[in-house]
Amino acid sequence: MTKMPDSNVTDGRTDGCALQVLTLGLGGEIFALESAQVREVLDMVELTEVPGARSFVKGLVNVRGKVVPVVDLKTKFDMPALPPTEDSRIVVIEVSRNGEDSMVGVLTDRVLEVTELPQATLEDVPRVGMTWQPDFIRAIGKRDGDFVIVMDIAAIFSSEGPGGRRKTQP
Amino acid sequence: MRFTIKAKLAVGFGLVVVLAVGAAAIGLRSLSQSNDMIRDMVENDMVKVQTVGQADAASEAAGRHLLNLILATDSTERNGYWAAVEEQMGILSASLTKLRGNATAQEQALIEGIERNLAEYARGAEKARQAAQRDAEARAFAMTQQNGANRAFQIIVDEVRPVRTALNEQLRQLIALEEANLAAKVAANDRALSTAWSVMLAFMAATALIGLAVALWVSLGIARGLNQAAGLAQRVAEGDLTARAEYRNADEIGELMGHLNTMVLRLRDVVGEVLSASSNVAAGSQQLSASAQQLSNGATEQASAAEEASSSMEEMSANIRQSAENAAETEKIAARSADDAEQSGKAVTEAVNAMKSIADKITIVQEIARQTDLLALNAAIEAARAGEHGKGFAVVASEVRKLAERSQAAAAEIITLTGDSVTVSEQAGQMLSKLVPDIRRTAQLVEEISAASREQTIGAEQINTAIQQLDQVTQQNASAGEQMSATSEELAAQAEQLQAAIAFFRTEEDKAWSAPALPRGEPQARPVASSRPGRAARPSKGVKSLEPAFLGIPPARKNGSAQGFALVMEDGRDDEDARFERY
Repeated sequence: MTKMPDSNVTDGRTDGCALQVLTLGLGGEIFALESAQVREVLDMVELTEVPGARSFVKGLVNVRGKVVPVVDLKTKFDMPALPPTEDSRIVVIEVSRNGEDSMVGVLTDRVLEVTELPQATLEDVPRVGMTWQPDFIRAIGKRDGDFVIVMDIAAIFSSEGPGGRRKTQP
Repeated sequence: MRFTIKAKLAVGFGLVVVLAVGAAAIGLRSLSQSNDMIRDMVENDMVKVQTVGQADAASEAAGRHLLNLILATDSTERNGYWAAVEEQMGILSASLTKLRGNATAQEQALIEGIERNLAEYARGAEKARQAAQRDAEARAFAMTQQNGANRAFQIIVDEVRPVRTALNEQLRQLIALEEANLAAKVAANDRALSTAWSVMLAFMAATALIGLAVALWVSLGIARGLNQAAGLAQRVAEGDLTARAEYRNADEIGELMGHLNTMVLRLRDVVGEVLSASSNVAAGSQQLSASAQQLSNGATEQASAAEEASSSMEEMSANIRQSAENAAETEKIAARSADDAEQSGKAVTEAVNAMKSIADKITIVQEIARQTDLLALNAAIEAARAGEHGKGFAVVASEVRKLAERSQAAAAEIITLTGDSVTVSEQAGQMLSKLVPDIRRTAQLVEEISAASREQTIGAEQINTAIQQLDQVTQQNASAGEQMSATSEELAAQAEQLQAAIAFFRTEEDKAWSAPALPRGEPQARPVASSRPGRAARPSKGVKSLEPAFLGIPPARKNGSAQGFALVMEDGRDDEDARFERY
């Protein structure tokens, strides 16, 4: 394990040699979140639905006395929705929005581990031929032969609806 | 129509009978006529003679009584004599009346003369009676007889005697007439009788001649036919079956000849058939002997085979009994197995329940592992957030997480295994529960097998008994076959003897017949043994060997040869005997 710089944790892309992430599975793909942004992992609980919420917001959950919205990134990424399984988890992350931090729960199909992605393996997102909007992706790393897509949380939560921009673009 | 002996005899005897009957009829007629004549003579002529005799006697008596009347001394005496005179004259008159009944003209004339004289005599007699009366009264008055006492006498002498003499003469004539009539009738009768004699003699002579002729004719014919028949019978008796009778008359003898010829022909056929049949019988009985010997051998083998079968059956019976005991043992085992299987089923059910509870418990462990995993993950996150300070903690969290994951995997594996085990155990339980009735059914079947084996034991014993009986029967058959063999050999010998005996008959002219023909007429003199050359000519060993025995039979026995020959098997050995086995 390489030594990790403690400055600018939220940025994640340090000039150190590794990026510490939490890998998780969504659909058949493996995504990664910067571990600095992850607050904790919860077991799947019953969600309190919120009427009038945006489509990717699945409901509310109580995390140690705080009401936290839970979103489904698969809706955001236009991936097919799946029913929760035994491995489904809610990953509580900290999102800095409009200058203030807030907590958001992300529905994941499974949580793999906390690991480090070496900086050398990270590559920029190719501009063509991608399923997802490249804005939401910070980098693509490799781990054990699989691609690990490192999500850009700030970009995701700053956008409006599920694929809103992409839909309005054409 | 055939002119048979019956017809000949009928014609001849019919002629004789007709002639005899004719002669008898003529004789009878003559007899009847003679009888009529004699009866006529007796009833008419003899009566007439008798009546005339009576009249003559009455006339004499009347004259005598009249004389007595004259000579009588008292009136009573005279009255008595007068009554007698009147009676005799009545008799005379009655006789005349009787004669007049069927008198001829000649007699009638004489009778009428007699009646006239009788009437005159009556008157004279009356006169004499009165004179006698008066004479008697005069004698009484004069007491003398010399005077006038003879007038009655005088009257008689003068008047009565001539009348009476004429009367007697007429009566004599009548008697002579009647006797002449009688003599004529006797002569006529004699003539008729002699005629009948002649006719009857002629008929009898003719009858005798005809009868003799017919008898000669018929008897000569019969004798000729019978002689021929006798000759044929004699030749047949000598054994010559080629003989034939030549007699062509179409009568009963001819028929007999035809039948005799047919009989000889049939006899010839029969003898030929008997010859061939007896040779067949001889050959067949030899074969029969061989077959019987084979049969006997076969029966002996069969008997030994039956004994083997009997011992095999005993072994089988023992095996079956053993099987029955094994089956009973198996039955007990099966019942026990059924109980065991039932208990095993219960045990399996308990095991299933236990495994289910294990699975439940493991689920708790799994949940704990999962929670642990989550906790470890969060710890790792916390450690990562802690940065350099959380490095050690991150390692621990990682280890804990690995342990948790291993626990989880192990728990999942246990759950899977438990589920599989439960499935398998439930299947085992089901199979066990299915097994129980099968085992019980097996027990029942084994029980039935046991019962069947017991019955099989009984059956096998019965079969064994039957085989032993079969063995006995087969042994009897073997001895019977040997006896049959011996009997058939005897039969062969007898058939050859029969051939020899039947060779006595000669059926064809060209066949060897070396016996000299004996003169006919003495068939009894021909001995039976004289046919020996004919038999000896046949090349038969059996006959040769049996010859002494055959000849040793007394002649009295030969008559009974139709019932069979008396065989003397001990005699007559020859070289050929060595070739045959003796039983």
